[in-house]
Formats: sequence, C-alpha cells, structure tokens
Amino acid sequence: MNWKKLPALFLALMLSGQAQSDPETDYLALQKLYQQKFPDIELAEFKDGVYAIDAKMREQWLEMEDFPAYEIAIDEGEELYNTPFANGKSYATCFGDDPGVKSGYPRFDEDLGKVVTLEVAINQCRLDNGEQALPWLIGDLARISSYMAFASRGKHFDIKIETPAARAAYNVGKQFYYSRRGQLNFNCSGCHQLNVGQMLRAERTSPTVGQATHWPVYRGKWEDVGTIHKRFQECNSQVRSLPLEPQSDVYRSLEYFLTFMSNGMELNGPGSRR
Amino acid sequence: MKYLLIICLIVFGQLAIAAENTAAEATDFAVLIAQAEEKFAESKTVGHAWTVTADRLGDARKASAAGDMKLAKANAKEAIKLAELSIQQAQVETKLWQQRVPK
Amino acid sequence: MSNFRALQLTLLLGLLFAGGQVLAQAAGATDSELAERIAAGQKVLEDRKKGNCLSCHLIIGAELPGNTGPPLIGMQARWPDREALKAQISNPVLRNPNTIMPPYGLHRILTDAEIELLVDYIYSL
Ligand code: HEC
Repeated sequence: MNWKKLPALFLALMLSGQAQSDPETDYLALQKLYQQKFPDIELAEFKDGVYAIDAKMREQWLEMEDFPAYEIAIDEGEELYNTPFANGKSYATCFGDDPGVKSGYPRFDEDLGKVVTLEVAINQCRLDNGEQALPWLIGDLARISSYMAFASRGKHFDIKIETPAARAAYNVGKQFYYSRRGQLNFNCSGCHQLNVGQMLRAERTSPTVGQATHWPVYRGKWEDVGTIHKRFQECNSQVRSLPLEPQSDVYRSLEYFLTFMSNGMELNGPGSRR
Repeated sequence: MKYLLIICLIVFGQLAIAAENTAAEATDFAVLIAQAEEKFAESKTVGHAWTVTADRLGDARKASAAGDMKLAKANAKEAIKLAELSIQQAQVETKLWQQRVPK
Repeated sequence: MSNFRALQLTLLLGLLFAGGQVLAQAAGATDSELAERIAAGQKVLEDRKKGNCLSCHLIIGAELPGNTGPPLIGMQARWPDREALKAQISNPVLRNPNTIMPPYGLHRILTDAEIELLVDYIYSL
C-alpha cells in the first residue's frame, strides 16, 4: 500500500460517490450514450421516441397523426378543465390563467417531502375544492392532463432537483430504472439503453431520453389516452414484475427521474403510440 | 360373524386414517399458504414482487377450495420458492444496479 | 423438498432405463423419439408463456423474430458442450453480467425437463 496515494484515492472515491448521485452528470452521460448509438439523430428528435429511430414506423405514425386519436381527449379535457367545481372555483384557481404548466412537472414538494406529478396536482386541486379524486390511469384525469399537455406544447421541460430530499427522491427513481426485476430479470435500462432500438418481436424500444415529453398517450390497445404510470405498469408486468400502484411514491420518483432525463426537451404531448 | 367384525374394523381403520390424512393435509396446507403469503408480502416490502408468485398463490387457493390438496400444496410451495428468488433478486440488485448507470 | 429429490431420482433412473431400452432397440426408434423431443422443444421455444425465444432470437423460417440476441443457427457447432448450453439457458448472467436474457432455470421459468427438450430442438438448428 502506497500511503502517499491515500488522499488521492479518498478524493476519487468521494468524487465517484458524488458523480453517482448527481442528476446533471447522469443526464450528460446518458446523452453521450445515445449520441454514440445514433450519431445521425439529433437528441431533440427523441421526443418522438421510437419513431425517431425507425423510418418505416415513423411514416405510419405520421399518417395517424393527420387525424390524431387523442384530439377528442383534448376537447373533452378542455371542457372538463373549464367546468367550475360545485364551490364555484375551478382548475384555474389552482393552476393560474395558463393551463400549460406541464413543463414544471413533476416537481418536488419540500413541505410534503414528496414528488408531485401533474396528475397528483390535478387531483389535489379537486380534493381541495371538495370534489372527489379521479382514477389515475385512463379516463377523465388523463383527458384533463391531455388538455394541459396540449396547452404546454412548444415549452421545454424545466425540472428542478435542488435539495437533498429532492435528490433522494430522484435516486429512488434512478435505482428503479437500473435494477433488474420480475421473474424475467429485466431492468428498464436493458431494453431502453443497452439494447435500445432493437426489435422485440414487432416492437422496437425507444431511448430513455425523450420518453417523458409526450404524455398522456393514446394507444389503440387502451382505446383511450392513458398516463405514463399506465405504461410503467405495462413495462413492469411484461417482465413478470408485480406493477406498483399508480402514483405510489416509487412510481412518482421514477417519473421524476425519467422526466429529468428529458429536461430541456420540447413538450409535444399528448401523443399517440402503437 | 367374526369375519364381519374384522372387516368392519379394517374398514373403520382405513376411514379413520383417511380422515386423519385429510386433516393433516389441510393443516399442512394452512402452514404452507401462510408461509407463502408471508414471503410474498416480504418480496413486496423490498419492492421486487413477481406476478407469477401472485399467480401461484391464486392457483393454490383455488385448488384448495376445489379439495385438491396435493395440487394446492404444490402451488403454495412453488409460490414460496418464487418469492424467495424475488427477495434474493432484491438483495443482489441493491449492489449491482449502480454498475449499469452510464458513465 | 426431499420428496421432490426422490421424484427427480426416480425420474432419472426411469429415463436412464428407458434410454438404455431405446438404445438397445433399432436405431429407427431412437430417431422417432428424438423427432418427438425436437417437436416438443420447438413448442417450448415458441410458446410466449414459456421460452418465448423468438422475441429476441432469429430462427430461419420463423415469423416476426426479434434481433436483440444472436440468431440460433449452427448451434451444435457453436455449443458442442451440452452442459454449457444448458447452463447458458438456465442462468445466462454467469457468462454475461449485462445480458437481458432471462434466467430460465434459476428463476423457474422453465423446468429442467423443458430445458432438455429445448436443447434437443436447438441442436437440430
Ligand atoms: C422487455 C423490454 C422492456 C423493458 C424491460 C422495459 N420496457 Fe419500456 N417499453 C418497451 C417497449 C417494447 C416499448 C414500446 C416501444 C417504445 O416506445 O419504446 C416500451 C415503451 C416504454 C415507454 C413509452 C415510450 C414512448 O415513447 O411513449 C416508457 C415511458 C417506458 N417504456 C418505460 C419503461 C420503464 C420505466 C421500464 C422499467 C420499469 C421499462 N420501460 C422497461 C420494452 C421494455
């Protein structure tokens, strides 16, 4: 053992420890990964997910986008958004005049010590005004969220992780993304990073960067718009991992992590996917 | 008459043994399913529960309700093994996940 | 557990015995038995609830294969050691810590008997 090297070793350890828990470093490393894997694709294009990678799938998708299936959801969401609560107040009371607030969600609430997603904020607004909470996955809540996402189009994600508590929540989501789970022993990153763009039967996997920009999403399989937590559940159960409750602390942290990996990207929700 | 008595004794004996066996099977199953539930709950607590564990637990309960104790016990045992594997996965992963973060 | 072991042992002995019988018979009988095992192995491989191997591996002639894993071609030449191939299917993490191939044996996705059938089929490719 060379004792003179000890301080340097100590410093290196501290730095590496720091690097592991620094969201900004994670973000840059991930961008580098995709730039290496797809040197011809601009990072900004990944807001279209797998359709940024596969030209043929993109063509079919663009055709669908001519008459997007989520349009009805936006209209219904707008109507729901503008219908006053029984107490005379409305969503605008909670969110202000501009419903296009999605670029700031999820945010970490220091008082609650929890991640607050847009869906949680919508339901909280309802509860605060004496209304009942809406179901999380599909339906009216996803419609209201779709309208707010639509109103947020063109803005760029501005997710903040500023305090130790916020960083801890981010780390919970990050650990979830990189851990193997389920009987099939998959990690999210195995499909969306290591083997990104590979075919799984008829499906091709999208990059982590850009996965958060376009929610809620309309899928024919769901026959409706659904929130990102519905996709989380599906990506869990397909590897035989028991899905968690929507908007559980861990799924909220996962969304926080995932959205930070799309930070600065343009919002283009709601979206449509196969 | 003597033979009849002996036959009766044998038959009753068999019946008693059979009854005892079913009773023993039922308690065996009760122990197994309780153990399976406990392990499954533990796998949930560590955040790594598997769908197949829940499936085997369901199969076990269904078989038990249908009176097929052998199948019920086999499924409960499988659920225990699966739950144990998922808990093991959680333990291993707390160490391994960081290696997969891009640097 | 001990019951299971005993059962395994009996099965093994039974198989050995049956194997001996088969060997003692005409070669034609072995072929048809192997053909049956290969057919059964193909079912295990294709069944989405069992191997679901096509989701990642190409097999010539199969519909809608994935390309995440290497194609399953010339397997006998590439994996001359049957035990090594079985170990790869049972717990692929041992060879490659980053693999996304599921541990079919370790996680009880397939039974040992199913893995044997699978190998019979893969060796025919
Ligand atoms: C077995 C491979 C696999 C694993 C593991 C997996 N996914 Fe997916 N995921 C897919 C496929 C296939 C799709 C659909 C194609 C696409 O858009 O990527 C998808 C889609 C998604 C999408 C929607 C992408 C979009 O553009 O709308 C999100 C978000 C997502 N996955 C998150 C996750 C998370 C979080 C995990 C870990 C809990 C995970 N995935 C694990 C295969 C996987």
